[in-house]
Amino acid sequence: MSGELPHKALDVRNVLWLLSSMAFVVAPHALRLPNWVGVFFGVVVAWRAWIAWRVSRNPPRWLVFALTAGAVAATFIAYGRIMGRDAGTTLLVLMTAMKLLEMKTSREVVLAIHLGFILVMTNFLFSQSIPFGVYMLACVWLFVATLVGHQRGVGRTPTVRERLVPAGMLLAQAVPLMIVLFLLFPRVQGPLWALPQDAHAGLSGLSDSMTPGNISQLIRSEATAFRVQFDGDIPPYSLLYWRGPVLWTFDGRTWKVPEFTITGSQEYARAENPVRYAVTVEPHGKHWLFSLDVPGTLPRGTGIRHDLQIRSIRPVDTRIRYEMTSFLDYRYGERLPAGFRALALSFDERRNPRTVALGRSWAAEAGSPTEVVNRALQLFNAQFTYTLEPPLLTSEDPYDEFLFEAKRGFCEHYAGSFALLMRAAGIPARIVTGYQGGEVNPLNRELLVRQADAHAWVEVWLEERGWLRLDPTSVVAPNRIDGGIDAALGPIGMIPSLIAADRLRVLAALRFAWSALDSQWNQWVLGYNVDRQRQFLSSLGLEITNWKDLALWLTVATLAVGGLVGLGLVLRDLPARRDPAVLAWERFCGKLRTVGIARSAHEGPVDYLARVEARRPALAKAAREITERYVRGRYGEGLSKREGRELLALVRRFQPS
Amino acid sequence: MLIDARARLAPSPVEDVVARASRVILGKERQIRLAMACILARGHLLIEDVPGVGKTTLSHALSRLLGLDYQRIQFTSDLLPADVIGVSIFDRENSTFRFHPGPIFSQIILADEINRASPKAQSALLEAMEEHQVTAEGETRPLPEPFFVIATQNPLHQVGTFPLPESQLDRFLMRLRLGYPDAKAERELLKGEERRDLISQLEPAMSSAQLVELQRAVTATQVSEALLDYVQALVAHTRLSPKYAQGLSPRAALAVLRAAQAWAMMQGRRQVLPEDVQAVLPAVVGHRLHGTGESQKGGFDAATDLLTAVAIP
Repeated sequence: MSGELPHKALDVRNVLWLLSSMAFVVAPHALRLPNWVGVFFGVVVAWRAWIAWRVSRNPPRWLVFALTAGAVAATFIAYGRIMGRDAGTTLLVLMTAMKLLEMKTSREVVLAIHLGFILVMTNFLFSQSIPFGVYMLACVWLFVATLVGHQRGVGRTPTVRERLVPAGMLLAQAVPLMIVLFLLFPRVQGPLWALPQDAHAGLSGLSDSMTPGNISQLIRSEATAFRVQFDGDIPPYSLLYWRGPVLWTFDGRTWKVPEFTITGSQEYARAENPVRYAVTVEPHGKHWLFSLDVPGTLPRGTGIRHDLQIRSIRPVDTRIRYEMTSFLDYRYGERLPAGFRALALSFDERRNPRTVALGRSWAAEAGSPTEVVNRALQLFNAQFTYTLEPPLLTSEDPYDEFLFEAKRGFCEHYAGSFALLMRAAGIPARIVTGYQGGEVNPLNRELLVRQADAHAWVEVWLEERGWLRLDPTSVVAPNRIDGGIDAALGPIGMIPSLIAADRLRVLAALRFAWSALDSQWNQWVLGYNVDRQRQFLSSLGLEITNWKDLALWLTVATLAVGGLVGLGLVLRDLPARRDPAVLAWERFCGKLRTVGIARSAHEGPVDYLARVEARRPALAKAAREITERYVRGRYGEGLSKREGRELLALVRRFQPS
Repeated sequence: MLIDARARLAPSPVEDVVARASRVILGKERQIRLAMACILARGHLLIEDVPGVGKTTLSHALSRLLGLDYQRIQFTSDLLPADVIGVSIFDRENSTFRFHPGPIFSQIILADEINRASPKAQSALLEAMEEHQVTAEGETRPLPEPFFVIATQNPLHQVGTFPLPESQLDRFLMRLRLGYPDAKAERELLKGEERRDLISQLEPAMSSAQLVELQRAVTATQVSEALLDYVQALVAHTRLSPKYAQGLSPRAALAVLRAAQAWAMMQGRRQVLPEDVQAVLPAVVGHRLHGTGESQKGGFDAATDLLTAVAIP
């Protein structure tokens, strides 16, 4: 900046542009960070706007300092630290507010705009969805427009159009470069930087225990759990049991994953009808992965438990994709080790006495375990109702209360009480939680499994047969398994809004289209990792294996794209220059320049001619003819095509020496 | 022939005016031409310089040569608007008020030393310049056509002046400076006849009908897209460059164009060239531009800088 106007007030409109851009970029943060952060930011922005509006003084230094110290202290008190995703973002938002407050000079405005870009980046630590990406792009556009307005000289503020159009052009010119960088920038195995632990707070998913009432909340969530792409046909709906945590231990109310690890290999007595599929699972913060019964191959970096639960070595903190094979037709576990048998039969004798008594009476009456199973299924079929809003089971003996009084419930209730009945009757049983079914997107043949598809079912162990899946819920509400939860509830249940809209086909089509787009986004943009990059490059015929080659190609491509964009900009200005009069005149001037009579940029043709005539009388005649024709072409009535060619020919013949 | 047509047009009345005026005001042909271009472009003219360099003589000579009826108003600090516009006087015979038109009701007004008068008297004149009519005692009276004001003023640092505000300066199409004559011209002046006698001997070189026709011909002078590009480039430069306190207004751009058209016509051309713009630019924008920064350049210098800063597109 020049020294003449050291304290010239910043332009009001530029400051207001900056403040509103800031408000846009901080708005999503204000919604997810503690309320006081948003309020503080809003107040400071309003204060700064008032300062700009009234052209009054910025607050004194000591006040800014005190507020800054207070903001740091408040962040520390709220989070117990100032690092980490949430605390760090909070601190950045607060410090940006302070920078805005003390901003006085043009240089500080530029600095604040850069802070704005950093705030855009921090937003992506929280969400990377398409709509959010579009919103952030709009924010970047606003900041560039603010910068454009700020750089536009002294004294005049450009209009909205004069800001947005050049800013949009700048961004558009950057797009090819962005694509090149995205495709070629060396990818790091795993996330580029480790997200702090608190980035995974509040992820939804299954828990490792089940108490009646837990899953009823999940059932209403439309959030995506995972997506599946099958090689070949999608298996029948009734076979889509996505296996998750297996619950063994039971205390009379809650079923849990055993605390010790059940290891040991499992051999299948029969394994046929394989299906291959790829699962893209949303982060849920736990170790388990989902597979169809029964898993055949394991993805990299995973292990399997004795009860066929697949566990990832690292918690699923980012969206991951794995491919595997399952067998739909199987038989396994005909030999049940004593320890497992004991665990699969254990229950608290003092709890749920009526249920236990019922189970024992069946065992006494029935001839075989199969008959016990059938009796239990018949019981559910005859008297029970499927509902998402069951009465609360508050007594010490919840399963007694459910079986003999309430008789209304959903999968948890049925699976829990069924398994207890089996154990009481001496049949080893365990509960499997996971997801059932899903929704096929007709556009890309992709199966979308939502949190709402969460389910719990039972596996019983029968002599000679091994572990067998039984789903008591399917007896009570067959539609739940055949047609999804929507069909099971019919008109009586509490139906979430979007699912109800399914009946409107247009909306359904839109939803499928969006889901397909979202899936592509996840796979190709967010999931563009080392493997995908290699795959993409080899499809272009580039076998690049080390990052040095990649860096070389990146440089080459960046230069090439930059060159192309530059060339485009040059070519855009060309048509105006194709006027033959202008072309001829430029060549004429060029020839004269070589003999030492250069035209200065602001010298008109007649003045130039006079100079040429004075310096080189020998050239006067030719120069005069050319100048006259040029003047007529450029400033007079114009030249016909023929005259234009003649003029060019005259210039060609013009040889000063 | 486009370029050197002037020779063939020599006996034109415009050339005649210039030639005869040059005989009275020695060594100032360029200023006389600019003044003529200003009149042909239907603009009002402001001549600014120190006393005694021939401001009044020039304006006096022009009015005689153009064959228009003219009035001279000597602006003084006690001049009243009524002295310019006229006044109603009670007529005893008819027992009515009768309006006695002031000096402004003529085709050329010489407003001598305009910045010596109070703002009130200045604005009486300047309103008339803009509207080509005056309102006195509730009645609006049109002024004769053509109507010109040639105002002279002393530089602002002189004692006892009321500077014209920018909005009123803007009403003048051109501002000229005469400057001291060179030694040769001055010698001739000292040896020659009394200027006042020379002026009284001047005969009109054209009729007012001829003048109106020439003015019409000015607007018919061809302006190409390329030339408009140049004018716009000049104007845009003043708006974007931090060297100027304020950019040129669209009215100023229009003034440049009209004056350049008049200049081109005086050169005997049917189309305007960049040279024509360059010839008139300092006179047209000099009083509308102010430099910023340490230099605080005056208008003429700022306009000259502008010419060298902008390339002809």
